[in-house]
Amino acid sequence: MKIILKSKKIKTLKGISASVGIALGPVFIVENEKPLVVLKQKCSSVKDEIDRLTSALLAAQNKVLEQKNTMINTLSSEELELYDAYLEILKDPELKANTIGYIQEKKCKVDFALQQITSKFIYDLESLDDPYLSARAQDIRMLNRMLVNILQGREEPDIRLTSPSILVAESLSTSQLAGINTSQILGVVTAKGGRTDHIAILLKSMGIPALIGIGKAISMLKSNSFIILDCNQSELLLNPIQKIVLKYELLKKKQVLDFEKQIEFSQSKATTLSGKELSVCANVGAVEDMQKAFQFGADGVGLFRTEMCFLESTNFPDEEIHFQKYNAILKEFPNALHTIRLLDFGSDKPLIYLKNKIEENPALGSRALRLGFEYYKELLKPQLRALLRLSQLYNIQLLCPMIADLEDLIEIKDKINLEYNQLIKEGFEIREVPSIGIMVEIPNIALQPEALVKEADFFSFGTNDLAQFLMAADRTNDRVAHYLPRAKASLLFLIENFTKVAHIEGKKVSICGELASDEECLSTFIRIGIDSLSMPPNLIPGIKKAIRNSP
Amino acid sequence: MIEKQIIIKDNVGFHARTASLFAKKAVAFESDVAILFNGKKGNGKSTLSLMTLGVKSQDEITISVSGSDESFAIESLVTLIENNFKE
Repeated sequence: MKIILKSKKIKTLKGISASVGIALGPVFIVENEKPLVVLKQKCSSVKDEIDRLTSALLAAQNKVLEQKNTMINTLSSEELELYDAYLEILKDPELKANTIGYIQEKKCKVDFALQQITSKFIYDLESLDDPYLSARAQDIRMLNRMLVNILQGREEPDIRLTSPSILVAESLSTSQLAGINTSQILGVVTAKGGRTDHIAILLKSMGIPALIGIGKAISMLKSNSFIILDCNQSELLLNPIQKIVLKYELLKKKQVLDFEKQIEFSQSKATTLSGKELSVCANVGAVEDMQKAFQFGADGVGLFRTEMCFLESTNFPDEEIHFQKYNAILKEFPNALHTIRLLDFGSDKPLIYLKNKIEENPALGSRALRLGFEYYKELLKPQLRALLRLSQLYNIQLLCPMIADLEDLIEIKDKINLEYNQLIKEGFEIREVPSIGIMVEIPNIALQPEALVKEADFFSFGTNDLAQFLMAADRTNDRVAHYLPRAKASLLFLIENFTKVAHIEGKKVSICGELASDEECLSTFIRIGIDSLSMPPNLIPGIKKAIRNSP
Repeated sequence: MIEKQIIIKDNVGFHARTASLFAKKAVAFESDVAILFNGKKGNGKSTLSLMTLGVKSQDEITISVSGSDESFAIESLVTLIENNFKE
């Protein structure tokens, strides 16, 4: 096929695909950033120059924070850390001290001194035999440019993209990208760059097809000429004839449709070919997760994590903070059944306001409800009260983590009932105490479901923690973490046994660990009759499709 | 002054993340913190300086600390590396 399609006029350029997908559209040339003009000039006052350095560093930090804010809805929290790395560089003691030292020694102006010092760092990083660190030189170059522009009072011209286009540039910086209306970017082509560049990572997470490192051939791309970017094949087509344009338009449409179809099918419950029903729910920990859960057709929320409320706070979060934070997330998917997990963290997550002792073995230490019982008034009580109040507004059930035996379960049930009665006394109208279920993650529970099957309303397998306890291998320790996947057979054995006992009592069993999205296990889950699986929202359409294709 | 040799176990070495975790910890101490590696000397409180050393996984570095809180500082920094930059 390809040979026939590529007639003489059509030119194919090869590059590195940094982000997959197909794009068709006009070329928009991003002019190279003009070289900085930094002259060696004597300064009149060393002190003034140092003051200017200090304020330029602060101004640049504000600018980076601004850029971070414009990206906050586009990028995941992990990718946003990139901006924290920029801030780190701008606050670096060596950068500042060396620049000051240079100004004092040469009595020169600050922009020249800064340029000299950053060049040294860039040179050192680029001469390292390490592609990741060499790529960081690019970050320092961008920050140097930002600082010099601030010092010289120069504004970088904005890239004004008014219609959907494919950006073509010698190289593109994350700072340039932050200034562009990203909804108009169909794709990106650059002459330089590699997959580990921050810009490549950003484009990938934004789902913008990108072909990088095409080299000198970039000069063949002219403004407004129509090109086809096929990042699935790591190539772009110049001067395509109509027939090929149509072919790629169809291909692109098909890709979009395939995904949309998956999402569309995902909106209803998934049943197997033989008619068995299996709910597919979402794991959620933030507003964006809940929006995705709704969009991708979650049948409910199988695991609502509440850690963020504790970790983002600088003091013990009070009842109102809990209420507001959860409400902001719950209202994105108001009709769903939300399974909210109570406090679940330990000494591995240091909190400023909690003088928590450092433990030798945090995974086996005072974590989750153990910590909640220890600091009941400060930690658990406000959370329980907020959740009970929210149960008036939403369909909520409470999931208790790290329950080791019946005694633990009775203690937390007592606490919940106590707070419920107190709230009723205070005049709150709460119809009833929500269902109370437990995480099955401690072997003592997983091994003998009979011990508390009557006492809990539902069960959810936390396969990650259960696997680490079964294999005696710390899941956060890279040296032994490879043991965890090897627990699969034992996990499935325990899940099957537990589910049998629970179903006799009419109680539901779900799975919310990593195993839930393991397609290899799906047939076993269906055979056992698991009631629901819970996973990151973006995996839901795929798993629902797999369920529909199961016997 | 106290010096201690230690092997970096993190599977990439001193990269942006690990270097900044180390620098953040080092800044908290009054003592001067230097890293000696491959004939180069880096400021332990500077992410940039640490990155330019080019320390890779399994490389041995020398931490050199001098100042009033040197023994406490070296102990915390060694622990940080021994725990593979997890706290």
